[in-house]
Amino acid sequence: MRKWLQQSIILLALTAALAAVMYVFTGPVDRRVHCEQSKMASDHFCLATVMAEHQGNVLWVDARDAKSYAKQHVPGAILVPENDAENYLSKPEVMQAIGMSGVEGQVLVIYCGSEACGSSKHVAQKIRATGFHSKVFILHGGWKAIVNSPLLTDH
Amino acid sequence: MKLGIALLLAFSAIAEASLEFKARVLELNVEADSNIVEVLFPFENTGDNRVIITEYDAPCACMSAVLKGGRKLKGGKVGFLPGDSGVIKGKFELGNLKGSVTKKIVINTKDEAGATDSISLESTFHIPYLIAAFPSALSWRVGDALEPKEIRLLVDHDEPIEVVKVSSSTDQIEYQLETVKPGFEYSLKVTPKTTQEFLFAAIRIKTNSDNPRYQALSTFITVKPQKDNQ
Repeated sequence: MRKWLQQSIILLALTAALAAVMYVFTGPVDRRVHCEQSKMASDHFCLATVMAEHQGNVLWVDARDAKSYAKQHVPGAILVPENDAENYLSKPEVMQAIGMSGVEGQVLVIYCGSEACGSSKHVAQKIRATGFHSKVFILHGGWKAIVNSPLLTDH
Repeated sequence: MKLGIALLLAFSAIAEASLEFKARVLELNVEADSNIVEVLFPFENTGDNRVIITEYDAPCACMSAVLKGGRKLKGGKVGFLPGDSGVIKGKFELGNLKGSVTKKIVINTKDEAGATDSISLESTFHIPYLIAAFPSALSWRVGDALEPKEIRLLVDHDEPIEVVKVSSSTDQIEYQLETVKPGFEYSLKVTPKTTQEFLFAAIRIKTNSDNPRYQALSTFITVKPQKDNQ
């Protein structure tokens, strides 16, 4: 019993020591969304690409539900929730924003909750079908990519 | 010696945790009157170690996931001993969605040797269009002649669905609805009043369907620049 306890304590101490060493060398756990633009589909953007190449020239579309949008969203983003996209896209202010964004040469970038949510893809299909805008892209990682980015903290 | 083996086990966790699913990808044809659809992903622990499901989540607000089976552990997590089986149940709320929609449930696991795994379970739901517009959008270029264009409204259902009202988001459009086959086929002829200005508008079509999903549909009308600045 005593031997077992000793071994457990040694194991625990070694694990803690290893974790400490890892922390020293690699820093805290990296929760960023990793994204390589070269590996993305042609209609997907990494956040870094949007920030570097299109900053200030983007219309953001939030494909999450209204509750998540109300809690926090990218400044200036318009809401087009996936489960009622057609009704939202028929609102005059939404049509005007999307249409004029295309006329003015902006890119339209859609985000949902994460890379696995799937809502951005569906909303992108709906927006393309309106004919209002032809440069429609999906943000890889969605809100998880945005949440700790300068997009929110700079405002 | 025992300590050495234990250390080896503790630091050599390179294998994946071993939950084996009967299927990780499902396709379902949804009935037109369904509002909620459930999908089941049964699985079994086929490995030699206990596997703990550390997290399971449906990243879309329209879908929720429930874990059935296993043994509850301290901290609320659920473990599966070798040979144990369980089910991940996904519940998808369709709302006004139509067409093909793909949703995922993501599961993160860890086994006693420390091996971790992230499993994606994918469901594609095919929700019928009982009434649809062809094409769903019309466009003119600035300066184009004011010639009408046509949208056909087709019902793909055994029972008729009648168009009861047509309205426009703007007074800058003229439109005329013609019944080709009552309850099954309609023709909507649309002309913008001017093509000298940009226009982004919608025509809403209301039906007598009992099903809220098919009570309205939108078609979109654009007058856009001569050259796309897009």
